[in-house]
Amino acid sequence: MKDLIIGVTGINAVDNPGPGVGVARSLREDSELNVKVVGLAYDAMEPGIYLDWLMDKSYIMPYPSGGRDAYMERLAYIKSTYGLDFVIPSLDVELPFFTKYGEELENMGIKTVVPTMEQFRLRGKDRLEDVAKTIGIRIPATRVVSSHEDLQSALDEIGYPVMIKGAFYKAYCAYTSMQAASYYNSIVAEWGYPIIVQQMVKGEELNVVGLGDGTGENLGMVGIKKMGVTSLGKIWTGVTIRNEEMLEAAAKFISEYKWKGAFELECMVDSGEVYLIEINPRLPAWSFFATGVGVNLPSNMLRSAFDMPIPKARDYESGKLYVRYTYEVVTDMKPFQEIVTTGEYCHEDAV
Amino acid sequence: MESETGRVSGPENGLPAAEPREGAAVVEGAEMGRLYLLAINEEGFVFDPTTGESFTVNSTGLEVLKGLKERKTMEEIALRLTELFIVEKDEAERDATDFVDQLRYIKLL
Repeated sequence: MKDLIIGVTGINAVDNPGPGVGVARSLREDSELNVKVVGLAYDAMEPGIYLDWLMDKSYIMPYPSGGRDAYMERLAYIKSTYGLDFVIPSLDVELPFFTKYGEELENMGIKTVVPTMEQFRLRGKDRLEDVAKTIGIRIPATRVVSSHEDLQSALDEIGYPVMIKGAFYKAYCAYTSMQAASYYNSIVAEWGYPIIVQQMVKGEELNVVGLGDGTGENLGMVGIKKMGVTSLGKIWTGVTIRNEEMLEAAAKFISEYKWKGAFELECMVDSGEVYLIEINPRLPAWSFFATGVGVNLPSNMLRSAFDMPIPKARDYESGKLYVRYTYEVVTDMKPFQEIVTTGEYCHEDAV
Repeated sequence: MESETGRVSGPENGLPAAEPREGAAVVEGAEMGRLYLLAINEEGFVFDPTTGESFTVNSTGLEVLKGLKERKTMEEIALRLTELFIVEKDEAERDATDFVDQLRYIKLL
């Protein structure tokens, strides 16, 4: 079989890391795959571009928010000049493009495994209550509001402290009604309606990453607890766990919604009770943790797209530790010069 | 048995869960708690695979935890403490009961 050329986005391995470097590393870990990895970056300073043991070639991409044509043209260019068989988009902002134009990309010979538009909408926090009911998990007391009057009655009902959240982005903790109103106004100004008013759940953060094939089959999942996070709330140390309530909810999420692609459920555990807080419709930045404990989700995703056999053993052991660390690469100016001037850089040419 | 992490051991790492002994009056609630899933090593490091929390216990706590996992009665656990440490049975029972209350407080029982 010829080498498959896989495009990976989110290679910005910075203090708020994208998932791409972990995805590329996972693909390299599967010794049965013959893959070349293409890094799709949005900035010449994205570290993934310079990791020659992970990327074969890297390209600068136009922002997906810039419209369909430019993004599609860039992918077509990569396909025709280097080759591109599969793309793993790992940033929220890219998913609408890959979801909407999946068929067109498939016709171009570029496959993806991403949620449908209807599935993608399930990530909205205004849908969280419905999802939680369907998959059998608690959520904190939640009210969806679109006016100051509704906000006030939600605050009276839920009490303080309380979380004020946008449907997709931003979340603030408010201790008074004045604070809540101010956060409400600020989120509405930036992201629009509706606003979610949610009971504050104290406790530990638990997460599960999983992968569905679109027919209801579970292609692997791993549950973790974040033991240490950065000032931006990003995991730095974690441990695998087996919280059956959370894992059963994740399995149901795949089977009930016939979820296609990767996802992450963010949960909180308070006095042993698990609450669903957020759904991310993509691989998280820590997804290499799953690979490290034997559940290689990027590889399983690729294998499902190309009808390759997927390993049956997808279990993992609890009590495995994940420790992030910083690392430095010292290289010539050449890759930086080329990526800035031509928008692409090939590590193979440098050998 | 040590896992590859080198720290924890427990049912999920290959050890069988303790079977209840016939006729033993075990601690109330213990049969349903997360306690039986705990991975405990000989140095008193305890890992809860359900929540990912870990904590350490002293040698008395370790013996009480081991006793509970083996479904011993409080009296049997206290008796074991008197064998291991210089302590009267009444005091050992009080210590064990206090510890069990703490386990209940953190919902391990």
